[in-house]
Amino acid sequence: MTALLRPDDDVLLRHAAGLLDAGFSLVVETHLELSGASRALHAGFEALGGLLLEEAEPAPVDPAALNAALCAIEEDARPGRSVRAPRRPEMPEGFTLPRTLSRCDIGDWRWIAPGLRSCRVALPDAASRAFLLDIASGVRIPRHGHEGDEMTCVLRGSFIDGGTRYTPGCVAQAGAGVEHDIAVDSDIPCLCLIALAGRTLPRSWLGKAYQKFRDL
Amino acid sequence: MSCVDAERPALSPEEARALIAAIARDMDRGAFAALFAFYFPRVKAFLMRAGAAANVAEELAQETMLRVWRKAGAYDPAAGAVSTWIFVIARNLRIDRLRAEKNPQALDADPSDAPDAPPTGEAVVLNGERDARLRRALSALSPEQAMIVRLAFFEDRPHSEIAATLGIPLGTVKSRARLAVAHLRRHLEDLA
Repeated sequence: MTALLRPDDDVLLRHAAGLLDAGFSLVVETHLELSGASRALHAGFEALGGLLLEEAEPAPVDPAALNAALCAIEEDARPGRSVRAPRRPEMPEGFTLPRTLSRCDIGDWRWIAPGLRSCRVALPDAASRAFLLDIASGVRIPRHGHEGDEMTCVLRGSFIDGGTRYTPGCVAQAGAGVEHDIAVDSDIPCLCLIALAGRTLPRSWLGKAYQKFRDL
Repeated sequence: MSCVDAERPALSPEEARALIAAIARDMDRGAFAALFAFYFPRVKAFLMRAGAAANVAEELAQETMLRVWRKAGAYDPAAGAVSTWIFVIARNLRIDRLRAEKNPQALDADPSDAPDAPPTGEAVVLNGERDARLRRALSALSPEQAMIVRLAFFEDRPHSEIAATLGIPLGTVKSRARLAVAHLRRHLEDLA
């Protein structure tokens, strides 16, 4: 576990470039919404995209493209798309989901272990998985390793990992092979958004319970 | 591949802003045509480098330009340069397309196209300054580092593949990529 409270530069760059999978994108966007720690750098990386776009070697295009665009503009009566309200389970009282997450479908709460419940966040691609984890005050999630990258953004409450305290908006990143355990130190339960690229390798019964859920 | 310092863009940031303003204010089709001439082939090039087939890239570039027309009124100069705004629109459309191909039932999330800088009165000046610094930072990179940044940014190439393309060891690519990002970051943070 690195002691960064925000995503790695590389992750921010990949998000700005549009190259991050859906789960990690969701964590990065939630982090950008809740915390100012990465906004300037991320905006800079997006500006880099703009500069690289300006200097790109122009591709050969259909000479009729401008006309087609001008015609499309003339008949620009956009049909209203029907967007249904996302479904989601009941959230802790007094807690409002960040705007980024309120656009997602979220499954029902599932019991994992005492003081630990979770729900899946539906993602538009299958390359990663995301879920909310609600951990009661004082609960520890014992050592567990990773086959792939894991990225967590705290939404409510706080936890300690490796001597570092993570509060709402903070991001914890763990790479493949890294083992860590976390302990909730806030008076209220700690609610986190977690994205995973691989499977979690449990080292204990609680970790196993955690994995049972993850395999669902 | 062109070099930042060798070739000034044919459309300055100020000119681009004025064109967007003319579209927003007067639905100025001439301004749209000028913007289209500059950006359409470049957006298509970006999408093709990101892996889209030529016809898909052309279609998405077309959609990008139409969104520029429709949303010109929502463009906020305080949030970033026009090139950044158009880049973000094209990027988001590309992501939507990729996800729709994989999962046709996906909920339309309507991602915001606004770059996420805080909109303050000074932001336009600050962003202009930042972009000028970024330009200098890019041109100050060694040709190899600049190439690595472009490959990593536009083409999602794994470092191993970049190593094979450039004929240098994987470890070297990794360390130079880190250096290049750190270099850009320093230039960005001086302003933050």
